[in-house]
Amino acid sequence: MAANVKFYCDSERCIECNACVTACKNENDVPWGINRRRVVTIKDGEPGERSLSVACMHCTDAPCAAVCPVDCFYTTDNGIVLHDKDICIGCGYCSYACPFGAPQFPTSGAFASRGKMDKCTFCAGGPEKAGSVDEHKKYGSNRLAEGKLPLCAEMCSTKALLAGDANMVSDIYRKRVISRSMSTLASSGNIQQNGFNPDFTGKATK
Amino acid sequence: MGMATRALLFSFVLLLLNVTATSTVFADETANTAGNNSDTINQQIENQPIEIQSPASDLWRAVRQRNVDITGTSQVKGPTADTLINVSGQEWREFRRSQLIPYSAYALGGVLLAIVLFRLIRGKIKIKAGRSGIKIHRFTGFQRFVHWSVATLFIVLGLTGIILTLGRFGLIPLIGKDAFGILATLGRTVHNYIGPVFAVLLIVMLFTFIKGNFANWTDIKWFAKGGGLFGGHASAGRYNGGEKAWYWLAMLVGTVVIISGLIMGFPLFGVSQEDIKLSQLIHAIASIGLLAASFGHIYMGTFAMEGAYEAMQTGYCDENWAKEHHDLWYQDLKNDGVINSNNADATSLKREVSDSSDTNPSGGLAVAASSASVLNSSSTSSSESNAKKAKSVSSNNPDNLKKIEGIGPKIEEVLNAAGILRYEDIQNSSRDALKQILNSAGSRYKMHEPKTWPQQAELAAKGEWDKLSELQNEILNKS
Repeated sequence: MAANVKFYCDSERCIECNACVTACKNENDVPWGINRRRVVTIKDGEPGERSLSVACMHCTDAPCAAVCPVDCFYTTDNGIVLHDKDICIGCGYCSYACPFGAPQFPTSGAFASRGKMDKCTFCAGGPEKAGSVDEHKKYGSNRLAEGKLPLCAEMCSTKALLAGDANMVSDIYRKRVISRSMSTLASSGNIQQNGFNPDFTGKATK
Repeated sequence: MGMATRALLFSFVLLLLNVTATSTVFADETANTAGNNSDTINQQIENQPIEIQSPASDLWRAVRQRNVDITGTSQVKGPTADTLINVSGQEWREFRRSQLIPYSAYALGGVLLAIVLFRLIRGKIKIKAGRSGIKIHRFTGFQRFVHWSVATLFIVLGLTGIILTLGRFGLIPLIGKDAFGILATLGRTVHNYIGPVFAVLLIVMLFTFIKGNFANWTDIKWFAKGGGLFGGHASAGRYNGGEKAWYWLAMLVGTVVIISGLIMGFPLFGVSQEDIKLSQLIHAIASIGLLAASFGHIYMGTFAMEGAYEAMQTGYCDENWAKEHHDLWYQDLKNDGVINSNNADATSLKREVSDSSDTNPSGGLAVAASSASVLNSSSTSSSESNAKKAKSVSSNNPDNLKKIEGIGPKIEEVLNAAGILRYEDIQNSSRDALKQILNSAGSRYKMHEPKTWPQQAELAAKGEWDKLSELQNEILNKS
């Protein structure tokens, strides 16, 4: 029974260390100038500052796949959205449609033209044979084939970034929410909960 | 805080979080078993719900609902790295998938269908009076060069554009993803590199064809009569209303296509992804409109109408075609003395060379109206030898009168009907007698000037072809 895998970043735990970005780059030999994952900090330097680590979210109904003019995306049995670089023409439409800014493009061609798209593979490689040299060259590691989870989440020092079966990820997160709420109540509000205020308007400070 | 209170508070937490239905039941049971003051506490829940914060969830919820522009900072640098959620991506995607692609297909298919229907109803538009055999200069070599350069690039850009836009739905089912990927990569590269060249050529075209393309009342009348497409006659000058409309459409919409294309091709000067998304939609809509209109132009210029294609192919159109489709232009040429006048010297008789206009120094931006000339189309070297043969075999056979500059197949028929079959007959006729024959043959022939014909015929009768050729060149040079 194939799992439906997902990422989730717990903003109460993320400390913006950018280790996930570096780990991903190293593990997958991501081309120079490209980062498949990034950490975005909201309200940087203000009360209520939060950080989120973002990469491809492996959408169930992926917008990138919907707009791709050459239909190079496919979803694995595990719910991972992958693409075929042999078919990709580097048009950039997927990056226009993606809500999370996941697709990345090398600009090494003539006149800084876009090369073939590169994005997070959930450390699951590509359509080539799992573990092959070709696969590693184009897409990086295939940790899933080795029974491992994506390195970004595996090595996250605060375990803010969760990856794996969506049900398990949500279970872990649910437990965290309950536990945090209990702490608040048990301490009669003595524990500081500097909450994120969703009413903030517009852009945060740079 | 006693144990009972804690248990109650715990149940509130579960209630508020509403984790599962079962846990709610569990919470109720806990509240009931907790003892005496459960009713009061339930009232408290309804009146004053306890705020439990889950900031991480709130953050994602705010981000997901997209009420606000979520922009932060990131160590990673990139065009959209600071933006957490790309808000307009969904709109762009929906418009592209549910409107742009299907309506593009309908528009292009619809125009093609309309053309097929038009063809079935109207058939080929023939030159009613038949070909006169007399050619009128319509386009200079430079104009044709510009036209065909733009046309070639337009077709390449149009095809590659259609492949990239509609290929996923039209071609992948036929040739598969792998083959289509190669085709699309090629198409994208060609499209990107040819686009800027097209931009330059379109500017050249703007100036090359601008003369004669300004709208006037004639065009309004032309459109009111449906361009004569469905019967009736609609007067037109050098260019008719439809041609002018196509010219300005190509220029104005073409400019929109070029600018939006350059923004996408060269995302410099702080062009954002939002700008590119907008450009992409404008580029696609404008291009599809231009393509649909081009189908009409291409059809009218090629298969639809007898005599239209040769004008842009050779630079010359048939006189009768000009009379029927561009009567006002034809009239202008006549009034200017470019075609026919009573003074034969002003009539430029010209031995047809395959591409005389290429050597025309007035090329460039000059429009052909002033350099239009009457030509005899059939005096080719092959007909020359045939005529010689015919003459030597049997003296009863009529001569090839078309050898004489100014006489085409139609005029030859008229002369033959009047009993003039041999060069000698012309040689012995006076200019006035020939003119009378032409005049009585109908208004179409009135314009022709036979002044030099007897002299030419004399040489032809003697078989002095070189001298005839010299004379003809002399006549030509006089103009």
